[in-house]
Amino acid sequence: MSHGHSPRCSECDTTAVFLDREHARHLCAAHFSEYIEDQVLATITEQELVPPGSRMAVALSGGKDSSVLLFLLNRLRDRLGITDLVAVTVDEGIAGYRDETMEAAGSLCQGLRIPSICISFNERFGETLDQMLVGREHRACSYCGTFRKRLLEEGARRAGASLMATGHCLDDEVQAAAMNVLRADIGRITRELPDKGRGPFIPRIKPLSGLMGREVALYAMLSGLYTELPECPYTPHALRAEVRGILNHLERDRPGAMRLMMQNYGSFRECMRRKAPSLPLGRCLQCGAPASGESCRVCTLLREGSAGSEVRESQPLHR
Amino acid sequence: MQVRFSGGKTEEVTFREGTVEDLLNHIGINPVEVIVSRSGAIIPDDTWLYENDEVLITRIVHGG
Repeated sequence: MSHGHSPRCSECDTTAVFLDREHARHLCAAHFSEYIEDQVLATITEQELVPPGSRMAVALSGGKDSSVLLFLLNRLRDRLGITDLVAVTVDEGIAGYRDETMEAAGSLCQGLRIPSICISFNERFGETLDQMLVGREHRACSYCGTFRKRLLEEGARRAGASLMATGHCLDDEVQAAAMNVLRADIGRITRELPDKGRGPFIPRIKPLSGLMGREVALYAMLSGLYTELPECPYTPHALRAEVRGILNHLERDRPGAMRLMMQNYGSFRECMRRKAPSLPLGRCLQCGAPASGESCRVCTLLREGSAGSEVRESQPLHR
Repeated sequence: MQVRFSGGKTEEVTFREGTVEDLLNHIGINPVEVIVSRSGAIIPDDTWLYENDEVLITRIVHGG
């Protein structure tokens, strides 16, 4: 087996594991990990995302992104003044997929000695995601995202958290931005950012939002956090999968394209916000959760799902 | 060249020599979507590969 040209780390001249295309440099495992930790710390401190004394809930699916998030926040907790970390895991009920990721989430919490709360779609809504989606698989992400967000909020409240962190990386953010523009979803584009404490919600922060998905994956591998997990069976139905492919091609041909797009989206968003300010939040008439109309998204989808049978309502979240 | 993929599949690919990126382009994989190792060690995209190298291509799996 040959080992001809092996690139060397630009910092210390040892064997490199990563080519940083944007900055045209190589990094070894140690310098790459240091770079990732510095980036996350910079995102948090520059945007003042974590007030000292925070009791933080971390949305943990068991996949690489949320696992890296929990691992890094645990590592940085003293420097950030985080008093407590609690993992919140939602079991959507996806056969052949979720069991393995749930197991990975449980093992990580056990290894890091971090308490966790787990809530399932089945216990909360009386059905698994698989059952909800029969005949409407193409809407998997709408259903899953809406209900999961609600349960994460409930889990964070149950944990007494003052803040909730999610593992969205730069790729996720750019994909969401592109989909908002494709759908001309002005409501989402102009919505106040949740890290500013949008209305009655627990403020949500995204400490990995400055990192490419590939960087997060590599950090997970180098830190022993990467487990080969199955892909969500609903991915082929998702618009996001197509958008992701297009954006990844752009990133391959123009390194840094995603970062630039996200910066430009921020300016676009500000401009749109001035032209179309977001509506103030009221309360859902069915469950009392925050809503921009008479009915929150959760109750709307639950009604849709039970069309023809007795209409269910979600349990009150806010009293 | 013998190429293993995460998930267990192995393929024999005609590739004499070139960079990791050349190999990935040759087999139609976007480098942004994978991480490549040789003999258990993760390697950057501009690492030079030879015909008798054994590489593992790990696809970075995302949710929906």
